[in-house]
Amino acid sequence: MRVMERPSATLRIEDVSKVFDGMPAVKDFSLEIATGEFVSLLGPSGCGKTTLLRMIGGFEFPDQGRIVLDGTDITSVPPNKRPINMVFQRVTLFPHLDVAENVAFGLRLARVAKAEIERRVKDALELVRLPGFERRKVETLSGGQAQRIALARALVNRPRVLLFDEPLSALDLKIRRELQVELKDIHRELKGTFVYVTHDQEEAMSMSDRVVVMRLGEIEQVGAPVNLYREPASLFVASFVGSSNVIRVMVRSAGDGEVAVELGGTLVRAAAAPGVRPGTEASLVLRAEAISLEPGDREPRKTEAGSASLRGTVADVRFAGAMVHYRIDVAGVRLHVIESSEGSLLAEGSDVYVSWGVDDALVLPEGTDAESPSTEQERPEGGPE
Amino acid sequence: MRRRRRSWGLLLYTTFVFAFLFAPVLMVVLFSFNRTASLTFPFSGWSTRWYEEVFGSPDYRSAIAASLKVAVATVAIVGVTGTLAAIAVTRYSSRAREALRSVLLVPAALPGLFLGIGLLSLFVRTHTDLSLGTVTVGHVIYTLPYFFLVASNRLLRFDPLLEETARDLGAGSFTTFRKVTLPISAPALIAGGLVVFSLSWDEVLITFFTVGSQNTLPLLIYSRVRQAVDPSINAISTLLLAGSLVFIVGVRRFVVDLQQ
Amino acid sequence: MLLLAGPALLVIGGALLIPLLLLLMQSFVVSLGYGQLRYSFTLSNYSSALSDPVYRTIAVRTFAMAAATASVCLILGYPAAFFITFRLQRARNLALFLVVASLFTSYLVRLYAWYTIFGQKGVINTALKAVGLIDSPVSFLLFSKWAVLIAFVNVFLPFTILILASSMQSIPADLLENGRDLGASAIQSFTKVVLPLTTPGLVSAFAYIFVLTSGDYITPALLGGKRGTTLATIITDQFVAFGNQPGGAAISFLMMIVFVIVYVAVAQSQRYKGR
Repeated sequence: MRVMERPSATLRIEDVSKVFDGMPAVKDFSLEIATGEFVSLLGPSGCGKTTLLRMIGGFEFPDQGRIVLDGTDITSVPPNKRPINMVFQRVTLFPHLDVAENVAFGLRLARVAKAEIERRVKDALELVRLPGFERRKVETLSGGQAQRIALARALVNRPRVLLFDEPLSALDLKIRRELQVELKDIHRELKGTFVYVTHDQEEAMSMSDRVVVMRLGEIEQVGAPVNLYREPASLFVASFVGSSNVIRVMVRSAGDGEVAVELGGTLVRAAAAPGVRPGTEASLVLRAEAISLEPGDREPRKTEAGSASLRGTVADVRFAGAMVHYRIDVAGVRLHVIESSEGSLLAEGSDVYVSWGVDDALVLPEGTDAESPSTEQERPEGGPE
Repeated sequence: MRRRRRSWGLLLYTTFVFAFLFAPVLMVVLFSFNRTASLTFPFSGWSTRWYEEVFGSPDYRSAIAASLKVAVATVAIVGVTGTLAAIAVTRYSSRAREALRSVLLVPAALPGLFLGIGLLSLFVRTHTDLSLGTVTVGHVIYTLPYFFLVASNRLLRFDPLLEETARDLGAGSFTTFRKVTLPISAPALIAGGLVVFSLSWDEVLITFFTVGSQNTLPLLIYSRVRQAVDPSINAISTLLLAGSLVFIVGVRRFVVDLQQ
Repeated sequence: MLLLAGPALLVIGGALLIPLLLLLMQSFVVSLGYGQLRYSFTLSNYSSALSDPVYRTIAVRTFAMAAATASVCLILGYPAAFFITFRLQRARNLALFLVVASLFTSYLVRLYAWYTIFGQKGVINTALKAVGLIDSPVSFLLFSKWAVLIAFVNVFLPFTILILASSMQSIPADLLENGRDLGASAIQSFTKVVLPLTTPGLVSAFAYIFVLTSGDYITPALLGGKRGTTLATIITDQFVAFGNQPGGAAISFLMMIVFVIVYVAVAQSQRYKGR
């Protein structure tokens, strides 16, 4: 499969800023994307990820900074002259052309020979698993098929960088998951440089080599999905990526990368990020998958000294196929716990032992407020969040 | 639970309304095939003699030609200016867009009388001879808002991302317009053009003020009616009607869209 | 954007604004009759128009006819629009298409059609004669204000139905269902839901028909008879027959003031209805 023959490019974004209507959309953004990398820009709406993507594509121009592709400054080059193609958020197939004409659009403009166009269109359609769709009409395509054709249309021009602006967000969950897997396969095959924007952290984590978590126009953290998951640099990243519980605790002692915090009347040890000091309040971040539950009518397992082992009550049970989502009231807070659904389920209202290992918990210094969709906290004093 | 609501009263009423709307016109068409000049039922016979009279009359023939010329010219001018304006309005920011839209719709809010006398004064002052050209000017200003309404209604639904996509794939501004914007907007523009033709073909009041020595068809009918009622008017009226209606067949698809 | 809209703006500027400005100027100039003008500022055109009792009568007649036309159109059109919108499903598009088709039928032909219906040898007369109700043809039908009213209504009714239907269509169907659910009778759901929501459409349609009817010259000329002069007739005569452009212009602008008042009143009422 020789769809993307030209070697992919290295993209360098240097100190790029953009202001809209007096509001900064992107602030001093710098990033280097290696050849053949799959990078996702992840963040909530308004974080600037789409603006940045559009600047790479040439649909917006930075107020400051440069964008350099393989050593060439393309900052002010218009989009039709950049060797970059984009798959847009909505279906933007041209309704007055059939599938083959859509896919061939860029090639025709580049005056590629007719026979070559036919061959490349055929290859592209095969790559997106829609062979034989050449003569189909656009209105007969499903959402998933349409976005695949849009991908084919972008790929067929052999762009040095391929941009994706949340292309799957309008599709059904199942189709989305399918296409995510396929996209990853295509990337592996072509070894192209992909830049992908999304607000769905699962999507970003499952497909990317690196994820850039953005917030209010700036980079919060960059790293491989595993690192972001295990070592979030800030509360924002911790709560945005994965399902985390964030609990405010008082730090009692600190040392050697570990702290002891007070939780539910006991001292619990946890890994600590730099900047956590004794005598201050901090945030304890617990992955929902990292918490273990045992029925409360037996003796709890022995755990290493300092790791948590608390008694709680099951407040809510939600069966979700392979996983079960529990809400447990323990130590004055409500925790979200995800467990495999194998074995017997805990009953609502029953007692449980809640435990996790020292390395499963991370304490972050107080400061940045969290984006916490899955946290329900009850402060002991009962004050507002 | 949805109950079937049968409103026979309303159905009957609405049927009468439709009958009221169409009956007069149907009469004219019917009588144009009457063998005699009488306006009574039943007919004494069917005939196309009035049509023969119309087609044989040089007055009628030149009036038809004149109307055609004016209508085609009007469609051309309004088509170009109106399309550009519709694109401008559906593309740009709100404030300017609303202002432009209002300005473009003003001629439709005034009775044709004012457009007519205004243009007449202008032509008199500038010593312009009245001709089919001046008639065309009148038709252009009269039909422009209607074209704009029809065209911009459809164009508003044009996704701007389509143009960005074209540019992403390598098209410059003009190529984007030619290969993407125009083809996709074509149905709306054609619908608008048909509306303009129909309005121009039928226009009599503004024409009355701006016409020179050459009659258009509606004007000819108007002056004939004022003189005497003769049956050939039925025939020519039916032809006038045909001119307006033949476009309905083509417009149907677009017009139904308009209602949505 | 200016580049795109430029040509259209030029057309409007050249073919509408400049002529109207010219008219305005002319309305303040002295007319010496037969197209001759003396360029000195005067308000005499306006004052004579306003003070002439004949003009005033005709003005009242014109606006009354316009208001009557608009009212009749709304009254007749509302039930039809209601039926089409709320009682038809598959036939609705066809019905609307027919309404639009009747819009496209030539204005002039529909006008002339009334001759064949109301005329001395027209359908009604010959029918009445055949049945024996009358001996000699009734002549009041054709050249009368009733003929004018009926003709106007015939012309503006399709447009009324379309406007009303479109404002009715924008009422979400569940709003009505909800009302019935909560116990409202059919009449109540009509007066409390449909009527208020369609009022803006009603008001706009009224204003539009009023303005266009007031300025219509052709229909009264063909069907109005000797006593059917309207302001439009007067204006046209001033221009075409008497060469008194300033006089005609003055009357035109006085009419325009009335139109502006009507449109502004409509705009204000839309705002107060909490739109």
